[in-house]
This record gives sequence, structure tokens and C-alpha cells, in this order.
Amino acid sequence: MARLEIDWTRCDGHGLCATLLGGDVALDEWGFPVLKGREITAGELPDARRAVLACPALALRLDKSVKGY
Amino acid sequence: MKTLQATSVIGDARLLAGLDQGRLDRQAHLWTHGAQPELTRAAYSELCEAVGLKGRGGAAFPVARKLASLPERGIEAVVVNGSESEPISRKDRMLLTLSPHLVLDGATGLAHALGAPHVLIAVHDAEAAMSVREAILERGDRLAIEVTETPGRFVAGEARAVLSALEGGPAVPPGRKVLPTQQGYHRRPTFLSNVETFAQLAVLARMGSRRFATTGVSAEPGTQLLTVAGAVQRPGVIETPIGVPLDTVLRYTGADPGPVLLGGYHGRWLPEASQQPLQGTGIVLALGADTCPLGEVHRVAQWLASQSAGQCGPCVFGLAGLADDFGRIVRGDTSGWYDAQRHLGLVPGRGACAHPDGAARFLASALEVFDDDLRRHLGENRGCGRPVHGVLEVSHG
Amino acid sequence: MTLWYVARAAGVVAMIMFTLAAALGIVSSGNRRPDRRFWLQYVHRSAAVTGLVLLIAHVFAVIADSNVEISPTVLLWPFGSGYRPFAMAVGTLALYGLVFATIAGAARGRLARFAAFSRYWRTIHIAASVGWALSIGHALLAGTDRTAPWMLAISLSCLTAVVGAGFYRAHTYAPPTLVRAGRAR
Repeated sequence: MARLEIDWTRCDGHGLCATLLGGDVALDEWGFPVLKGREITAGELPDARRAVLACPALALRLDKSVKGY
Repeated sequence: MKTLQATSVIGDARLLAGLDQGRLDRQAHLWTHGAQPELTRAAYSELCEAVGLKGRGGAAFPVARKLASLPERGIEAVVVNGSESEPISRKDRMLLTLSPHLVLDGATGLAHALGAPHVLIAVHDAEAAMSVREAILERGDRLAIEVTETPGRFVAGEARAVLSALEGGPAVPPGRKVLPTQQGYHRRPTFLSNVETFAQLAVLARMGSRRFATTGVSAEPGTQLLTVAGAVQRPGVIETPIGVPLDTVLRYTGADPGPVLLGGYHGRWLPEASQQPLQGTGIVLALGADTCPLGEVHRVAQWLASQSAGQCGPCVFGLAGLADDFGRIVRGDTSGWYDAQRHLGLVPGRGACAHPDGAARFLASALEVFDDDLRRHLGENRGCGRPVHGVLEVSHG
Repeated sequence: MTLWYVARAAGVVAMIMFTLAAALGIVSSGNRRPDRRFWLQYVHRSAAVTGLVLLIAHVFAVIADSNVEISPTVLLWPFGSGYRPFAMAVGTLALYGLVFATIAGAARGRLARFAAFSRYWRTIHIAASVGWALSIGHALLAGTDRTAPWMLAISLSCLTAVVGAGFYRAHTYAPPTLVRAGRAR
């Protein structure tokens, strides 16, 4: 399954992701995104892609393979 | 700032062997430890697997798994992370200053086994850097060994920040999560670990897994280095078996009664000394009973906020917010407590590195453990009646 | 002769589209309301892509048309046109900038995987501004109708629109939430 990932070093808190993905992304008191569910279902995929494209700072990514230490 | 050089040992001296005479030069090192055996990569993997050796930089990642995730060939470098950016910790610079050959043996031994042409050593402390450079001149390694001094900011010690600094870039963690074993130094596979891990590897290579496992706990045998600080009579770095009870360490170093901090400014508080076995932590700090705990934590909160690299919004605004919240708590303003609860939920997991997570863990545990003090500060007296002595050091040289 | 009309019309409308894209880009980059910004961004991108299509039509028509002698080699070497060499050179350079920026923008989502692209995206996008400015220059220098009052009016309105957007942006400027010191973005 796909997951939203934020490059926090790029995110400027423009907030477009929260406008498009109200169910998955909220904004905190400073305007930065808070990821809620983190797992993106197949139905949400088009909206998630749109949000990735809309991010003015290129900070949002859709990762199909999530690695971690 | 006090430079802690006092070293002592509970049980076997392994990493600290021979240090009662001071720094070990090449000859004293060989006299104490013997020569480094040449082992294969498979032998290292087997040894690390057998004794469950874990990285000693704080994340406690199993070394065997790190080795297994490296590709078969094309490994570019072995990196010794000696930036030791945690302000209380002294163990890594102590090892590099007093026993540099043990660390170099571990790093060069592994580099030969992995076929890595470079050994890179990131050091923050000037004295430690000098000692390592001196030690390299005494050796005849057929490898490119380089010592680089890195900046002292807290987040500059993070593995990927260290790699970026070694490549000549800024010492800040990159925004993308990549594993050094896949894309490390110059995007090539790299084995990076903490100074103590390499010293343990050198000891393990000499002793073999069976002798290595004669101390410690069965799941994680061996010894560990602890930096003991705060309200103690004999602060310094000590070597103990893994799993030694906290009580024993505190009594041995002559600690005042009172709350105890484990793991430094990304760690957790305990209300008092206990029999808890110490495992996977490198720092024990006794707070003592005559300083204001919340005032101390507030100073650290301000310092943690100042140590953000300024790259990630939630860290910049969240930690600044928390420092302000703790200031209000200390002054007896209840709104500070409510804001802190909210901010503690907004910080973890939202940055390029683990600084916001660690800082939130430290602050959340303070609110939990200093429950009584909270009530005194938020109650009628608006304080606990104790001054802030600065037991928790926040300057970093 | 039909091709000649197509060429001129496509050129003029392409310039208007790129002007719209430029003005909206300038205005939206300062907008702090995400919902409004999303629509501005949408129209900005649509206008740019429409402009690109019309621009390609303009280039093909101009080359294919027999009214003026413009060889396809001018696309590779902008300074070798027999017909109004200076204006053609300006136009070809504008074409490079606009095509480069629009294609990079269209592939932005795919290219964002690469860390280097993300870092240099804003620098890459400067090509669009340069391309747009050159296209206005091309319109003032090259067109058959360049001295006709209506054409002059269109060219100058385009220039005014973008300058106006720039003033609006400067007037409503709000610094970003997080100012990152000493970091190439």
C-alpha cells in the first residue's frame, strides 16, 4: 500500500495537501500538515497524487515502498 | 565545562583495560590488548550475531543486521561516528582520547573484512581528534584513514548529518530517509556506527563470542560504557557489565538521592534510584534533591529548542512552543501545562531526524515523573521553593 | 495562405496564455489561502500547457508556410534565420525557455523523486520567466501586425498584466512560515 511522506526540510506549510486530502491530512496550529491515517487506500490514490502534484514546495511524496531503520 | 576523565570499572575492564596508566600508545595498546586478528566478513557477522552486539550510539540497532544489509561488494567506507553531540555524554571522546588504537583496530579490522577502502572518523572534540591523528601516525594501515572535525550542534551527530558533513556539506540531516548501508558516503554503501561499537568489535574479535559472553545478560552479553554525571561524587565514564542494576552504579559513584535521568536529553526520567538493570543507555545522571526539577527541565527545553537545525517546521515551532510552555509551568501558569500536553503530541515523528522525538520523550517523561513538583508549581505557592542549580548542563563546547 | 493566419493567431494566443500563466504564477506564489491557491495553481498549469500546444502549432505553421522563408534549422541554431534574423533569434530563445520550463513543470510530479530536482526546481522554473519576457520581445519585433494598434495593445497589455501581478505580489508579500537560514532551496 502507498503512504504519504513529508520531506520536512522542504515543507513550508502552504497547506494545499490538507485542502485536497482532508481525511488524511490536518494542519497543526503553525500550518504544518499532520498525517492522520498514513495508509492511502486505492480509492484515495487519485486525490493523493493530486496533492503530491499540488505541493508548491515539492515536499509531499507518495511512497509505495517504505523503508526504515 | 568539566572534562570528565575519571574512569573506573565495575567487573571486568575490557574497553577501559590499561587506562589506569593514562593514554595507551601503540606499544601500550599491544601490550594490553594484543594484536587485532584478521577476520573475514562472515566471521564478523557470526560473532555479532552470536553475542547480539548492538550499536552504542543510542538507537541500539543490531550490528549483525546492519552488516547483513550491506551489499556483497562495493562498500565505500567505514565511518566512526565520534561527534558525540549529546552534551552529557563523554564516553566516545574518552575512548578516542585515551584508547584510540582500540577504536582504530575495530574500524580498520572491519574495513579490511568488508573491502572498504576508506575509514572516516568524525570527531567533535579537539583533544580526541589530536589523539586519533597521533595514533594513525603510529600505525601502518594499508587504508585511507581520515579524521574530520564536525560541528557540535545536537543534530549534527545524527548519522546522515555526519555523512553530509564528511562530504563537505552542511552538518544537518537530509530530508529524505535513506539508509547509510545503501546510500551512505557519496551515496555509496557505508558502514557507520558509534565509537564504542568499534571498540567493542575490536574486543569481540580478540576474545571470540564465548569469552565475550562471560559477562552481561544472556540476551546481550558484554560490557557497556556509561557516563555518570550530575549530583555524584565521582562523575566520569565507567565500564560495567550490561544489565548492571542502576542502584549499584549510583552507589559506586556516590550519587545523591533524588530523580535519575537515563539516556541524556533524549532520554527518560526515573523518580528515584531502583534495581532496574541498565541496558541500551549510555548516560546516568543523578539530579539530587536540592534543585528545582522543573526549572532544570525548562532550561534544557530552551536548549533543545536552540539545537534544532531550523529545517523542519514542527521541530522549530514545536520545541520553541514547549520551551515557552515549560517556562509558564515553572511560573505557575496552568495554561502552560495544557499547551505542553498539546505540543507534546504535535512534535514526535515530524522531522527529518529524531531530535523532535527525543526532545518530546524527555519532556513528556519529566511531566510524568515530576508530578508532585508540578502540583507545587501550579498550586497556591507557584513554585517548589528550591532554586535552579544548573545540575543539567546545557553549554556545549 | 491559411497557414500564415494559423501561425499568427496561434502565436498571439500562445503569448496571451503564457502571460496568464505568468501572472497567475506570480499572484498565487504569495497566496496564503490553500483553497484559493489550489485553483490559481490549476489555471496556471492549464494556461501553460495550452500555451505550449499553441506555441508548437505556431512554430510548425511558420516553418511550413511558404509566405516567409524560415528553415527548420533555426530551431537548432537560432541566429541563422534569413527572415528578420534578430526577431527570430529572440523568438527561438523564448521557445527554448518556455518549452523547457513547461515540460519540466508537467513532469514535476515524476521528477520530484530525485532530490536534486526538488532542490533546483525554483531555479529551473526561472527559464519560464525568461522565456515569457523574450516572447513579448519577439511579438514586438517580428509579427506582421506588430505595428498595428490592436496588436501593439495586446503586447503591451500582456506586459502590463505581469508587471501589475508583480506589484500586487510585492504589496501583499508575507514571509514564509519557516525561514531557513543558509540553505540552498
